[in-house]
Amino acid sequence: MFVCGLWLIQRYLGLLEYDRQQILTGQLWRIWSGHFVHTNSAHFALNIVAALIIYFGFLTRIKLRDLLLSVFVFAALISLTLLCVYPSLDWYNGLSGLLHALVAYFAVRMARTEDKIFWAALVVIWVKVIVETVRVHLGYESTVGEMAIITEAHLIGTFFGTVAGFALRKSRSLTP
Amino acid sequence: MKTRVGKVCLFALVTLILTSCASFYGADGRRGVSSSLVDYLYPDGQVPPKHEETTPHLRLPLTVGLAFVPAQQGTPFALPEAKKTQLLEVVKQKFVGLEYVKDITIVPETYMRSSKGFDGVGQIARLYGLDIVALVSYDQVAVTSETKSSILYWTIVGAYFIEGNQNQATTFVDTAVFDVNSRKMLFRAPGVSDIEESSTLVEVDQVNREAREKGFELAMADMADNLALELDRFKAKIKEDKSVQVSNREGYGGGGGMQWPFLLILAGLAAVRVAKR
Repeated sequence: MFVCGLWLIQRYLGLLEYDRQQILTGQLWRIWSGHFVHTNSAHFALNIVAALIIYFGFLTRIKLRDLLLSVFVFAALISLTLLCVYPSLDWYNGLSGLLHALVAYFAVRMARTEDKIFWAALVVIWVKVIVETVRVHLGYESTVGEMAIITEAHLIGTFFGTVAGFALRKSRSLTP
Repeated sequence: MKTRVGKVCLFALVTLILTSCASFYGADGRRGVSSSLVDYLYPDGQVPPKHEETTPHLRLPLTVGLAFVPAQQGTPFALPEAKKTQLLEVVKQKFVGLEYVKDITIVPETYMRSSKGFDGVGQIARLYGLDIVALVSYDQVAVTSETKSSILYWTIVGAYFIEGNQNQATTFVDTAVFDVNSRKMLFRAPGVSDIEESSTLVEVDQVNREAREKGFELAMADMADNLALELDRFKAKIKEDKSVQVSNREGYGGGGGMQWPFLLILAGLAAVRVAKR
């Protein structure tokens, strides 16, 4: 249902994606909705596959309320950081920034409370983000088809996810 | 004796008049105009530098300069500046919509003429804020020859009504695209055309001029098509061999996208996690 819902809103890309100028003129829903629309089918497919692997591999036992709250908060944090720190970024869309945040956040939380294997997930995601950030600064471009990947969103998401994971109290269980 | 001398003089005079007449009407000849990229970039016998392993770095979207390489001054039959601008405008319109092209600026030939070499190109690039320049060099030969029916020009009236002249214009244009900072040629694309038009004697100059202009128009259109193909090849090539670095700058956009290697690692971790349950 989640995949079908996302697929249905792809046609409203122009109305929903992160568009700096439109957000500044008051279209605030784009702060959240931009993370759920994609530039093309390949972009959509890759992110959905990643979302399914992450959910079914790691997050099935997470309370739905926690998951939705995390999505709401991290989507806003990523978009607002892009808005403030990267004024030259005109547009952005895609789920991956949010996925990075969720992976980092739940990896820290689960590693602290449930299973040490989640530290491996955290290390993997940080290595991946650092490598791609360094590559972009060296002038290499990451793309999906013709679309440039905004690796800054991955870095921001991973950063906030990690910080939030360590900042919240360890005692509170994530699973029902 | 006097009569004999008079006859010879009269014969010589008639011959001279007829020859003059033929010279006047028989505008048979070869005209050419050309500009050389190498002469422009390496003037006064400069030797191109040795190959350096510098990697051009393109920051998207690009500002592109488009200009004709100036022909030697005083060259007859050169295209007027207005016509050159018009030709470049057609090429510009073909590429101006590309998402990685911010703007295409047509650089007037007078600016190009003021200074030569890569230093001159660099000055113009700074003036216009260009990242890359596309320099169009050309070579055109226009030949006007008489056909057999030109014999009727001798009737004088025939010069006005008989199309006894064949006007041919063979044109070659070549666009080389350079990265301003690294001075490296990124890619090039040629264009050719061959025009033949017949005319009466009195229309030779006009038709010849039209053929030369049309020759340039067709060659530039051919070059623009080839340039689009070369651009696609260039994009594919730099993705493979990384001979050019590409990055974004202000005013860019894109998506947050996962990539296959990361997906595989995630899938591996997920598999381990599921197996441990």
